[in-house]
Amino acid sequence: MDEDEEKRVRAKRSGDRIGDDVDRLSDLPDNLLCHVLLNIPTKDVVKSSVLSKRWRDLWRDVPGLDLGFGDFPDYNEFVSFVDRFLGFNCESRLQKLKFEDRCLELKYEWDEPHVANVTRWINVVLKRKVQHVHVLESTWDVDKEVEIPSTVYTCESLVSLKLRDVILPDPESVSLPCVKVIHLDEVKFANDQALERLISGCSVLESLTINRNVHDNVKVLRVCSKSLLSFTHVGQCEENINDEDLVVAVDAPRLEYMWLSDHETDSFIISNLGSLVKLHMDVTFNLSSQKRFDPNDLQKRNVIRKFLVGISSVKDMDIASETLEAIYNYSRCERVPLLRNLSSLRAYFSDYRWEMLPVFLESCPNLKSLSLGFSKSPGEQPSSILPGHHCFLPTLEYVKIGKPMIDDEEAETKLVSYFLEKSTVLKKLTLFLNPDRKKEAPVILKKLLTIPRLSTSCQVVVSDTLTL
Amino acid sequence: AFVENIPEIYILSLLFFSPHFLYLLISVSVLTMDPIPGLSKLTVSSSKKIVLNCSDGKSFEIDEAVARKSKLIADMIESGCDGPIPLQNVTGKTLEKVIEYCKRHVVEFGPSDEDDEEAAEKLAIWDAEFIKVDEETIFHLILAANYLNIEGLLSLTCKTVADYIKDKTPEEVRQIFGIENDYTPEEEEAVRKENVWAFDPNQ
Repeated sequence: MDEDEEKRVRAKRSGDRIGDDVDRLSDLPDNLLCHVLLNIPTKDVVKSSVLSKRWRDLWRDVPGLDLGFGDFPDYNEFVSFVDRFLGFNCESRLQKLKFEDRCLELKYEWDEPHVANVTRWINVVLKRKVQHVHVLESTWDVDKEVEIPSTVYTCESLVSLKLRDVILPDPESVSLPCVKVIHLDEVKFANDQALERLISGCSVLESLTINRNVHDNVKVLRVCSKSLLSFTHVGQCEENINDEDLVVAVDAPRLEYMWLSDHETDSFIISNLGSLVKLHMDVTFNLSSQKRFDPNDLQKRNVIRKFLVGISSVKDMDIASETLEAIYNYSRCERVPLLRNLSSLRAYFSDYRWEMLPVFLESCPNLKSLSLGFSKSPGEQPSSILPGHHCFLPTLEYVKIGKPMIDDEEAETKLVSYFLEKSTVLKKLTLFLNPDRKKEAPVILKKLLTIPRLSTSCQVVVSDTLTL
Repeated sequence: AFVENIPEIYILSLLFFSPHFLYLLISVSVLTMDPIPGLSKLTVSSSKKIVLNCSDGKSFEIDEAVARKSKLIADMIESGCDGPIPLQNVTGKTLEKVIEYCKRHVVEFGPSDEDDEEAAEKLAIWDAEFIKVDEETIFHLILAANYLNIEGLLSLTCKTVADYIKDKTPEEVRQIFGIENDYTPEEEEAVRKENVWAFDPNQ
C-alpha cells in the first residue's frame, strides 16, 4: 500500500504541472528501465542518477557501456570509470560494449596502457557473454594501435562486431556461432587467411562490411560464407604500391546485396552468386588513365568476362562510369556476356561520354528501367568515344535523365534521340532540369517533341524535380 | 503453383477415362508433398484462430501466426492450450494496438515484388507512424510487450522512450516525464559528485 500512497502524494504535489500527473517512466520496473537506458550513451545513463531517489543506483544495472573517448576530462578518469563499472555485478551478463572516438582530434594522449586496458576490458566482457562489441578508434599513430585479443574469435554469445582502426590477430581457431554482423573499418589483419577464417567461422553471418586500408596486410580477400546476405567492400583510397595484384574473391550462394567500390583491386572473382538481387558497382579492375586497358592482356580480359558472368543473376544495378569505361574497352575485343536478369539500371557519369552506354545496354536483353545522371568533372579531357552503330532496345520502358549535361546541349539532344529512335516499347522518357534552367523547360520540351519516336505511345516529359 | 490449381474433379475425370492418367494422379500427389520448403505454407492456409481475452472483458480472435509473435502465447500453444487465452495484464485498448503491430510484422512467405531492402524500409516507416501515440499508450505498450514477450515491439517502444532521454539535461527529462525530484540539494550534490565527469557542462 506504501507504493500507492506515494503515487497519490506525488500526484497531489505535481498538480500545477501541465499534462498527465503520473510519472509513468519511474513506475516501470527496474529491468524495463534498464532496457530503455540500454539505448542511450552511458553519459546520459549516469546523468539519470539525479532524476530522483528511485533512479539513484539504476545506472549501475544497465547491462552495457557506450562511451566516447571525449566524454571524460582525462584518460585516467576514463579508465577508472570503466574499471569501476565492470566491477558492479561482475557475474552478470553484459549485453554491449561500445567505445567510440567521437572527436575528430584526439583529446588526450595515451600510450602503452591503452592497448593493455582495452584488451583487459574486452576479455572481461567476453566472459560476461557480451553480444555487441564495437570498438571504433581513430588513431593516426601506427605504433599505438589497439590490438583486439584473440579471445574474441571464440565468443559464443557475440552477435555483432564493429571495429575501426584496430588490429586483429591471427586466429588459432574461429568459432562464432551467433555473429550476424561484422563491420571492419580500416582494420589491420595478420594476413589473408586470418580474415578469411574469421568470415568462414561465422556460420550465421548475414552482413559484412569492409573498408580497406592500404596497410591492412590483405592481398587476397576471400569471402566464403553460406549464410551471407549482404557484402559491402570499399577499397583503399591510396594507390596500390605493391607489385602483387589485389584480389577479392566472393563465394556466397545466399548473397542478395553487394556494394563494390574499389579502383585499386585488380580482379574480382565471383562464384556461386545465384541469389544476387542488387549490385552497386564502382570498380575499374585497376585500370585508369595511367594504366590503360591493353587488348593483348588476356588475363585482364578473362577477369572482366568471368566477373560479368559471375554477377549475371543481378536484377537491379548501379554502375559508375569508370566501370562502364572498363566494360566498353573490353567490348571492343570481346562480346560482353549477357546480364539476362537485369531489369533496372542506374548509371552515374563523371563526364559526358554517354556513348559508352549503348554497348552495355545491348548486353542487357531484359532491361526495363534506366536512370542516368551526368556531372562534369573539371580537369583532364578523357579520351573520346568513337560513335558506333547502335542496336534497338526492345525491352526498355522507362528512361529518366536525372542530372543532364548542362554544358553540352547537343550531346543531350543526341542522347535523347538515341533512346527515342531505338526503343520499340518505350513508355516514358523524363528529363529533369536543374532549377536554374527551369525557365527553358517549355523550349526544351518543344525541341524534344520534334524528335521522331519509334514507340508511338511514348510520353516525353521535362521536369524540374530531381528524384533519380 | 500450377499443380495446386488443378481442381480435383479434372484429375478424377481424367482418371475415369484412361488408366494412363492414374500415373499422372500419382505423380501429382507426389509433387504436392512439399518438395520445396515453405511451399506448403502457401498451400495450407494457417487459418487456425486463437482467442485472446483481456483484463477488461474484451475478446479478440486472431490468426495463430499473428498470435505466435508473442513468445508467451506461442509457448502456451506449444504446451497444448486450445481454448481462449486469458491475458490478465493487458487491457482491450492496448491489446488492439499490439495486435496491429503483430499483424504487420508477420513474415510472409512466397515471392514478392519488392526486394528485402525496400520491404525493410517500408516496415521502418510503418513502425515510425505506429509509435506516434500518447505517453500513456507507449508505456502500456512497453508493459504489454514485456508481458507478452514480443521482442520487436519491446525494442521499438523502449527505443522511442530512450530518444526522449538522450542528450537532455536531468531538468529537461524531469519536465518531459513528470518526475518529482525528491532529493534534498545536499543529497543531489552528493550524487553528482559520484560521477563528476558526466555532469561537466564542458565535456
